[in-house]
Amino acid sequence: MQTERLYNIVSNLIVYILAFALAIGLGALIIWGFLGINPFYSLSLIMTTALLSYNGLLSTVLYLVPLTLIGLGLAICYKARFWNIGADGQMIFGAIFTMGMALFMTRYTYSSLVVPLLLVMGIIGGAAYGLIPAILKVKFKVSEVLSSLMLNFVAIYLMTWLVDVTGPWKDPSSAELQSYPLPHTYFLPYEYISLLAITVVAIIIISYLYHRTSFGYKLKVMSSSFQAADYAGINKERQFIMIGAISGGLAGLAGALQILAIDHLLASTFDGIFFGYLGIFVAWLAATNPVYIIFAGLLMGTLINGGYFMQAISGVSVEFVYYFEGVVFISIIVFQLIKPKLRRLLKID
Amino acid sequence: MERVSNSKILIMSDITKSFSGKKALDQVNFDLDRGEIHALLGENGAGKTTLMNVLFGLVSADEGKIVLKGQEVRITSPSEAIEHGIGMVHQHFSLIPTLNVMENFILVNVKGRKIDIRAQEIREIANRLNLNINLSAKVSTLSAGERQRLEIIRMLYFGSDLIILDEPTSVLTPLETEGLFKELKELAKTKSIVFISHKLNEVKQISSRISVLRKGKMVGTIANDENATIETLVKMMIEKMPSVIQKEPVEGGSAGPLLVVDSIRIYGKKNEKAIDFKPPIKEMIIGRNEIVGLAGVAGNGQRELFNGVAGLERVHDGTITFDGRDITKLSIAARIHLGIGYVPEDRLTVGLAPDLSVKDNLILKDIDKGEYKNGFSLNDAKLRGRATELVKEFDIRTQSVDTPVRYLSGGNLQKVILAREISLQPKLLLAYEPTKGLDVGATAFIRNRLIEYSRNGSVLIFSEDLDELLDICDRIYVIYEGRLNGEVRRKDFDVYLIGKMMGGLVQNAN
Repeated sequence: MQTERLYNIVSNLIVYILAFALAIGLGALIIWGFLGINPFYSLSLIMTTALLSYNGLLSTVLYLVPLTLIGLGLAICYKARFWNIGADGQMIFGAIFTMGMALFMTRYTYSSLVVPLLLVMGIIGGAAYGLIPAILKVKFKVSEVLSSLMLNFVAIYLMTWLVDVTGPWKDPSSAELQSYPLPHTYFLPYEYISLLAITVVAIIIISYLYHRTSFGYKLKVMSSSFQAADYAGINKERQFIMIGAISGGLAGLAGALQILAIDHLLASTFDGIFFGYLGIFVAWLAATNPVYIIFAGLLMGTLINGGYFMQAISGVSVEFVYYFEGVVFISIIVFQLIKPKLRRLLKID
Repeated sequence: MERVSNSKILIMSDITKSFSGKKALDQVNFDLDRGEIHALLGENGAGKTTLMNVLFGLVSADEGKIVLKGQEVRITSPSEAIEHGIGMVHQHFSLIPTLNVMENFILVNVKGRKIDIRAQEIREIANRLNLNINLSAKVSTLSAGERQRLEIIRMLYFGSDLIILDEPTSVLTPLETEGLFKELKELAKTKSIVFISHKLNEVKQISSRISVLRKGKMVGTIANDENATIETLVKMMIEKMPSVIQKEPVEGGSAGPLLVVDSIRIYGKKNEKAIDFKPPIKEMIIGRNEIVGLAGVAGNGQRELFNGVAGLERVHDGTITFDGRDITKLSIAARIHLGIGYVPEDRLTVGLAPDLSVKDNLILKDIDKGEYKNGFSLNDAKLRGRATELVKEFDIRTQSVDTPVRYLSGGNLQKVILAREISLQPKLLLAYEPTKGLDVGATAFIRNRLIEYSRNGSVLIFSEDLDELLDICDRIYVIYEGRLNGEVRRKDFDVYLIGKMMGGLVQNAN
């Protein structure tokens, strides 16, 4: 048993190290071979700018927070083999709910409770949107892959319409396709600290749900065997509904934070897709373990943020980061194949 | 009496094979005379199949040598084995059910041999054995006995003169078994046969010599004569006999029946009627404190019936009444709550969540109970305490309660399920093949727990081992092609009668 646990940790570590080594090695070759740029300088820029400079670190937080929140929700989904790929739409819906409530309230009143209320609106918006694929799956056996994917487009076009030239939220004084801005009093106070605090609280709540409640226990049973869950009388439908709401809610919260702490308005360029898809990567990278999510989120945030610095300073395009993500993702899956060989090598059998 | 060595078609010596550091075979010697039926006897997991898999090229031995027809051979794949004239009929048939008989012949890949299957030759072989075979019949329409015959004919067709039969009777009714034995005796005039089994009476009946394996070691080979009594063989097979307690008979309870399954119909995956209870026996009734057995060849609807009662399978017609209440439409959870426990067929993916710990699996059905909660959280200390107690009470061998169950042995897996189900004190316990694949010790333990349990509740048990049912049941229903084909009370228990019912030959209304 002890050796088994140790073996699992060691073999996973080896797989991850190999995946990253391959991505870095191949990437270095591409940068050097095609662009003629010193790859080690470019790649080290990612680290030095995104983690080791004060301003860089602050902007890394702006990526880390939504990625972690979305990754956290998706991890729960994937545990139960609920293939939600609609975090983009759920994040956008959170943003729409938050912005809508904010615009509604600016006409009438202001109270100090407005920011928490707007955050809750984001959660509600995302949760409601996340519930749709869950309900479709439970009631009509619609594949959540298709429904959640398609709902992304619905959300994107709804948002685009809201801030379009003739849209109801369009700010006529702006040349861009964007809504009226938020009043300053609606901004998230102490933005960086608040962002991190909210993220940590979310991780604690989800970890608690996962480890200490019957909801989490049932999730583990489902993750291990659907048949065992059925046999034990676990109501899978109810679990799917809760999972849809929780993951949607987390994505919606990410959307609300994006509006309240960063964008301060809703623009047609609001990048739900970006975070939604990278969130899938974050969830997998953390092997759907709630506690590891923040590290995966940090890693992804660093890469993206550092990628922009790298582009600006060394001329290697930020798209390099997506190449990197893709190679790591595929390698981790492919390198699972070497685990049995490792087992023999380490003489576990 | 030792025969001259050229009469030996096969000599396997010092065969050793380890899996995960455990010796599945330890310096095993085995030989086979020409024209004999040699039984390989042993408990489940003794290494019988592994030894023959080594011969058939499915498993490569770590050590040892194989001399076939006077020449040392190294067999690394089944197709090489077939080339050498070795044929094996596995416990699970290797026929493709969607193809017809002829096509299944074409499938066999023999190295260095042009595939030219002649229907005439197949018929000739079949005729020599007095077997009927329809070459254009789809394999899925054949009975288990016919499929087995087909496998044997196929082996003969490809020139096998050494035929290995792995537990050939496990899928057959007693009558089909009798037929098979006649054929084997005929076959043994020209061929050599290895007969793998754990059933003593069959081995006594069919073989000329008997080799006994125990825990990967060859205990010995004896001639099947008057000295080879059942007692001797049992002593060779197992180290010490476990004690088995006797069931005290019950006669019709006073409180009314516990379970009545009336005229139900369940459709299977292909929309065929998997269960269809109709007259003369349209009801299955289980009284209080009764152990009721379900006898039948696997695949006659047992699984669907058990799942139907437990709520895992939808019942399309008819009613199931439990403790005076119609439960036909109730959810699985509601049925568990009313007191139906279930030891399912598939232990590791249905009865247990394989990646979860022993503790988590023991408390699988307690999770929503108020007594195990602290407000919103689970009361981990209490759940752990309960699991630890059960591990002790049911003698579950595990390193700790936190070990994932998939690392446990078959017997211990079954103990985890049984511990959980019995400790919930259900009124009815459904037990599907509760002792299948377990060694004698674990089997006795589980039988004893079931009998003890029947003092407080009722049991519906399905087992392919008819002797097991005869030992512990008060009553036996026979199921055949999804309907109840007979009901036999303890005082009327008779292997041949039940065997005929299992084959669909007789029906009785009482």
